[in-house]
Amino acid sequence: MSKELALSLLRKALNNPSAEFRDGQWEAIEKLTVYKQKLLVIERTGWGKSSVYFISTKILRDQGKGMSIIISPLLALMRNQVDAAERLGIRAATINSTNVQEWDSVKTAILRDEVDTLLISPERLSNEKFIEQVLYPIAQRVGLFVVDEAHCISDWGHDFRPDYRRIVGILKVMPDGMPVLGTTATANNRVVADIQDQLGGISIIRGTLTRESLKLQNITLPDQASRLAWLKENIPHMEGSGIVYVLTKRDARIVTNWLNDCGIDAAAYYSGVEDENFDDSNSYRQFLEDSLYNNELKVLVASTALGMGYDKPDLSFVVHFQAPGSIISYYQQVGRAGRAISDAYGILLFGKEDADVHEYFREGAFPPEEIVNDILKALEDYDGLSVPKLEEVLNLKRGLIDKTLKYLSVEEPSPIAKVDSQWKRTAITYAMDTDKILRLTFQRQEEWESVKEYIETKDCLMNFLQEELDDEITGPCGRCANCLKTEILSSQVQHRNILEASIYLKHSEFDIEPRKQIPSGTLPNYGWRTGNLPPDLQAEIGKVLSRWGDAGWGKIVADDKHAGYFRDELVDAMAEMIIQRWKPLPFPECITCIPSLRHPDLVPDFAKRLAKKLEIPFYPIIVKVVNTQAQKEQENSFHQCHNLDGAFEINGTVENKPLFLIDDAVDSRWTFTIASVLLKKAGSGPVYPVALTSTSVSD
Amino acid sequence: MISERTKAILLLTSYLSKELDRETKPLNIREWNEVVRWMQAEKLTPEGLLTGNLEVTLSTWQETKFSKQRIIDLLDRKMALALKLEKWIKAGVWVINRSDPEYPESIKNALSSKVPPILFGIGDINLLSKDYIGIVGSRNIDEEDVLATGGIVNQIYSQEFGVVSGGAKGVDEHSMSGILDRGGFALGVLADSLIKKSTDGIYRKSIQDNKLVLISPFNPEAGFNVGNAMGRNKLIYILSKATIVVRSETKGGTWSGAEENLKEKYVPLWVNEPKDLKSAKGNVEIVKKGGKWLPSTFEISDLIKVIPKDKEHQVSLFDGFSEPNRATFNQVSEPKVAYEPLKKSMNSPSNSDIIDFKNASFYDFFIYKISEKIGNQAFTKEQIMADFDLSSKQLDEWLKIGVETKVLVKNSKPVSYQYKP
Repeated sequence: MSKELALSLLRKALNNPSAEFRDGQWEAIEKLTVYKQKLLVIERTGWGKSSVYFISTKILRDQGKGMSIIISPLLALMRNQVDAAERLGIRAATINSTNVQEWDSVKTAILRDEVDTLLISPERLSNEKFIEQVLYPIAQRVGLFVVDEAHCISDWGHDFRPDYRRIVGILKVMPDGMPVLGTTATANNRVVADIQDQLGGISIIRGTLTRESLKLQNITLPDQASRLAWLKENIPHMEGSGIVYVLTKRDARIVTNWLNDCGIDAAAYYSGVEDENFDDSNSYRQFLEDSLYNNELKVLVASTALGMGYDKPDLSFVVHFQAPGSIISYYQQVGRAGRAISDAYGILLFGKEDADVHEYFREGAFPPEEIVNDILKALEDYDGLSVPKLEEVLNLKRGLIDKTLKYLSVEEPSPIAKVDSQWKRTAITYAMDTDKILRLTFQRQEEWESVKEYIETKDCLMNFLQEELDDEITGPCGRCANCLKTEILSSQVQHRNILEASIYLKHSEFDIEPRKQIPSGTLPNYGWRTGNLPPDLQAEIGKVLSRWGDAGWGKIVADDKHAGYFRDELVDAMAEMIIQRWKPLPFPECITCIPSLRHPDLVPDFAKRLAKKLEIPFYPIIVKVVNTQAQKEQENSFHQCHNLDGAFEINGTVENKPLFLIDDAVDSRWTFTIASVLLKKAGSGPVYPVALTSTSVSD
Repeated sequence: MISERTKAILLLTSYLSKELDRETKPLNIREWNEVVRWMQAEKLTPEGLLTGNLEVTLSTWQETKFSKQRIIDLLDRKMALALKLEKWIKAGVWVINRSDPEYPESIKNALSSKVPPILFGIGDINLLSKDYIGIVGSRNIDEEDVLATGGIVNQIYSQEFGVVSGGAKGVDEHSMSGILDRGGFALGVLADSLIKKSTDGIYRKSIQDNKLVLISPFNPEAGFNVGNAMGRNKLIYILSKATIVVRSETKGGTWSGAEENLKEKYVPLWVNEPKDLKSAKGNVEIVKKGGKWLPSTFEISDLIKVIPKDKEHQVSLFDGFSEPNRATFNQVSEPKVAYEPLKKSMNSPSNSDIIDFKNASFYDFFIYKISEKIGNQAFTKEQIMADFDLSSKQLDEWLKIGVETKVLVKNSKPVSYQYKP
């Protein structure tokens, strides 16, 4: 393959007869297609990494090699990539969780050699079944293996992911002569060295990262309300479309609703985000990505789920609602702005509570050692267990079990292996690498410290980022707030807007989704059929007023619960939520509540006052007949449901009318579920669960 | 760490998945040996086939054997192999090929051209070089057999040997867990489910404690298959110094394994003598065919020395891929070249020009090559280990003989050797 021929392919791909290779592009293509080497390319977004793998794919296919596999967090090729691939005659296909129904046809097409490039999302690789049943059968002939966002391979990387451990394992044992391309836009020297060290014999191509149109500024604001107010005042003044990055899914929803209330066209984007008009989360996410790409949305309020691989040339602002965890992830996110336009904003808002969120993330990054030991012991004692059986045997949160199994399953060698549906303890002597965990936790702490330094520095902001990324520095950027020695956007917010945002935050109620399944073996006393709960026994979608300890009502609910009396202000707030915003239909005609033997008056008293306010009767018809263990000590569905077996009875007349079912706090929703079934079986109309606060930490 | 050579051999010879391997069949041992001969003639290595332009490399391949395309297609399974290896390694599996130093010499010596190209294993690989007594027998055993097995295991344990068996239910399981429970060591030669068996409670702990190693010539995830089970049986005999049959029917795996051993004379074969011989027809028949009744108390030294081998040792295909003299290798690659184990060939060729390829032993070639390549220069073991691609163990033996027969001179501090005929 000559450079000329490759160049003609480039021109064809870009539809530009005078295009030339950027520095490093031809070298990369040559290493892959002629020398069949392993290669890591560190270049900024927009450098043309996709040109490298498309042209390489084309050349390798012409040599008679198999398709290329691209592991990428992107759900689909970006529009411009699709165009480039089509112009080269490359037939692309995607396999991810959104298109399960297409897997078979994709598989068939691959086996007929009708696919040239296959896009697979990294989290698929942590799914044992997917590898065995989908990926493996089509892996017979693969000509090129591409790993996008390759910095995730390194646990020195700012966002090391377990899914990528699997990829490292695969790359480590890849036989010589298989071309491998890793690409990233953000890797400092330490990450590059670590990747080299882990994979061995990988060559590096590295370019510069600077974004010449970015105007950087940091703004410290005391609380969430002032930051919301800042968004309201400033976003309309920024031209074009942009991204507001938040740290949690919940923040994404809160910020999005606020912006919408303020008349700003915004949508929330995070993994698992759903919309009733879309079949599943991924198709909705793709729709959102496209909407932003086409400037049909002003703002996408996104968690870190958006960013990797997302390439919008005219993105005009990136605002961080909270400070990110590290400079590298900050650069990765802010670096998406201003690729092909002359002016773009990179604004970092910072508040005190950001530190707490990052501390929480750091602490939850690895499963605790005692949990690891408990799970391994159980697998040893029972000679293997399925996940539901683990839940039964160990009273541990499902999420924690899943997380721990995932962590252990990518250890190398791994103390566990999945044989059929069971996890088995392998014959590996295993001890958790606590030194490494300490090192990584310490490293994350250091990364957070340097974010704080970035917020406080008086020097050129772009230079600060470049230094962290080991990028070549040629002098101050001359465009950031520090270089200009003046604010680019005002850090002042109007008191009126802060007030409005505080009220909004107090209205951050959300839905209580009814449970639809009962785990087997949990309710022998009730003797109900387990498995799918028939719709006529399910509760309606309910509402919860606040989140435990939250800035809105959550703090007040928490204080009052400890004091043993919910103040009237909460009755008013709840009534206002029900009447003015929720408006359930058919509107309930009476109220009942969940009884408690520990606090016999707390909830009934509140329910009584709420009933009075809503002018409907209160009937305390549910009684607690068994003194159960505290529900909050039950860590997973099996135990949460099982703990309530036979706990409640109906004592009184149940009318066939819609009713409110009140409790102070909701977490796993099992109490509501069991009580609703009892009410429905006793002849009740629709049951609407309502709670003052949610203690669930699931999002 | 799995060597590139092992990976290349896996690509060419291993069944990785039922569906896919039907289209492009991995090479069987005979076919693989063809490739080895061709590689030796062309001065190629298996790992060399992974990189470079295969079309060019394969231009000298004779299509009459099987098609070039099949080799290319098999080698194209790199991604599939990586997916499997990642999974296997995580479960603790190691993989060796027959040119690795850990590969048991006994298998190479006994099986000639049928040496499995690859061995998979879980557990301490060093256990492969220990001494074992084989115990085989039926899956269905009664209380008497359990007791008999226990008695046998006790004696093996107290005489500091290990047990090699097949990891199946019945006699296999009792003999292996028996010696492990006593604190002894064992080697399990599996025909299927290597990974799954290693996670079984009865074996897992012993593997972790470096008391048990499980090996298999088959894919670590392979399910049960009669052919594989038969192919596995001979390895139990070969890896033992002597093997004891506890209970056999007159057909089935134990029976045919014993028959094969008697025919091939791999190792001495002893048969447990049950009280009621009428219900032990298999045991009686095996003794009729040449097995010996096992005394109730025995000395292992007596068990292992019985059979004088009337059959000559045969050498396995020489899996060195150094830079051989073509003529030499065309000769030694013939599978039936007699392997005169060293002693007869002590009168090494003093004049390197005169070497009788037909009758020369491997040791003769070794000395010949030293005289050719190094002449009278001093050399170290490490030097020629790399140059000749020989295992350290093999070199030790030959160097020792060379020194003993005064063909080589050994210098100390630092240790080096010189050819001085």
